[in-house]
Amino acid sequence: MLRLAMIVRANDVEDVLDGLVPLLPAGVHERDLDSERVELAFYLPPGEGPSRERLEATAGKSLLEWVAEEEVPDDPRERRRRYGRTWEIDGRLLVRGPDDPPGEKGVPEVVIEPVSGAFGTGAHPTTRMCLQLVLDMQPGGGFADLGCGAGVLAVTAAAMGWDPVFAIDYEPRSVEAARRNGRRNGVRLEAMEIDLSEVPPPPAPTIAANVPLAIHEQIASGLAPAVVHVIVSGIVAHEADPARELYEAAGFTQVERLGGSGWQALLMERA
Amino acid sequence: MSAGLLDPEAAASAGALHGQLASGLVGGGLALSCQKLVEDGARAMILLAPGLFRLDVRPVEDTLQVMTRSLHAGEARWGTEPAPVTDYGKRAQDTPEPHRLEFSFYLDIEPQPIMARILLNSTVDKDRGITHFVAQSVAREVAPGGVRWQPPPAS
Repeated sequence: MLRLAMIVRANDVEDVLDGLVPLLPAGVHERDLDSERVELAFYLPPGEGPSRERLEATAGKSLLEWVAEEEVPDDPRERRRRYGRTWEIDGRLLVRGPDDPPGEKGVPEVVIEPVSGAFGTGAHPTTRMCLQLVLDMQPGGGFADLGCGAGVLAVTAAAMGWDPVFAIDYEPRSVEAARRNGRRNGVRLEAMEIDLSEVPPPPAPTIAANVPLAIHEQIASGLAPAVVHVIVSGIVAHEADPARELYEAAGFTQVERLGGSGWQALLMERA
Repeated sequence: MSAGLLDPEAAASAGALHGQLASGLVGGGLALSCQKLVEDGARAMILLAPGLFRLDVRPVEDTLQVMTRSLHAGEARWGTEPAPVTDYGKRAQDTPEPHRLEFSFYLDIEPQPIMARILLNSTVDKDRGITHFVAQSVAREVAPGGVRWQPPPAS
């Protein structure tokens, strides 16, 4: 199996994907490199698929460069280990798997062991947006990571100095993964199995909720007065305004909004 | 004219690379069907009705993005059934049924609008990081002002 990848202008990525996706039945993997460049990668058996000329014509002037072609394992799990596990957030944090090499010196990193399919490893755009917002905040007091998955937000918050840190999920294997990842990174966090559709979140001053819109309805209606900031994510673009309105109704105002790959994240602050 | 937009041969040819099947319907109309395995993180096309619409999917961890594209210059509207049967991302042993989404597509053209119902089913293998998608669509002309299906509200 071969891996081919092109780097295109971020502003044109939807147009390029509109041309590429019909040509590539197995699909295209999109990865933000920085605010101006996106990598579009795809896997093809040798000698199959559209010609490079056709792909270049499809990308047109949006194509900045090709990444060197690589032979890669046929097993998608092996490919994910090689390409899908290390994420740099604004040059301020590296999120990587335990088997991945350490990043450059000076960039703090968290090591997240994924649990099969669980959220919260850094692979999802919403998780990375939440991390950006967490990195922009001043740590202090308690932090609750709601829908923690493998726990990357909770681990990062604990490493930055929030205390106590709660990692909450309704899936037992996610709770266990968050607990393990806390230990792996040498930080203190309390991982708890809670169904947020039935129980209100803990009264931590900072809450990160990377969950579906329906769960935001539950969270927004049950926020304790002690909650000052809520990172609202896990929502697609057309859900962002309804989500904002839920928290506005609970006495919060939006102070920041991030978006990308169709997803959004909001930072809400108690008015 | 809408007749060419429901041509099964054109749809079969346009979607052949993806294994899409297309056939005509008694009384007129176009039926599409396609299935494929999609790796976690990849955006892949799952249905193509040339001149009408395209449907892409992107599974990422325990979320599923479905991207809709209207391929006609006329006024097109998409609708989604309010609640899927189950949450995407749950393993088969945790759910009563595979994940299912239902969409409607309405193209307001003369002399007759076209309406399509689209079903998207998926089953996740989290250990292997792949999702199996099965998508089907039925598109028909509908009478202006007297449609057989209620057009979805503009989104």
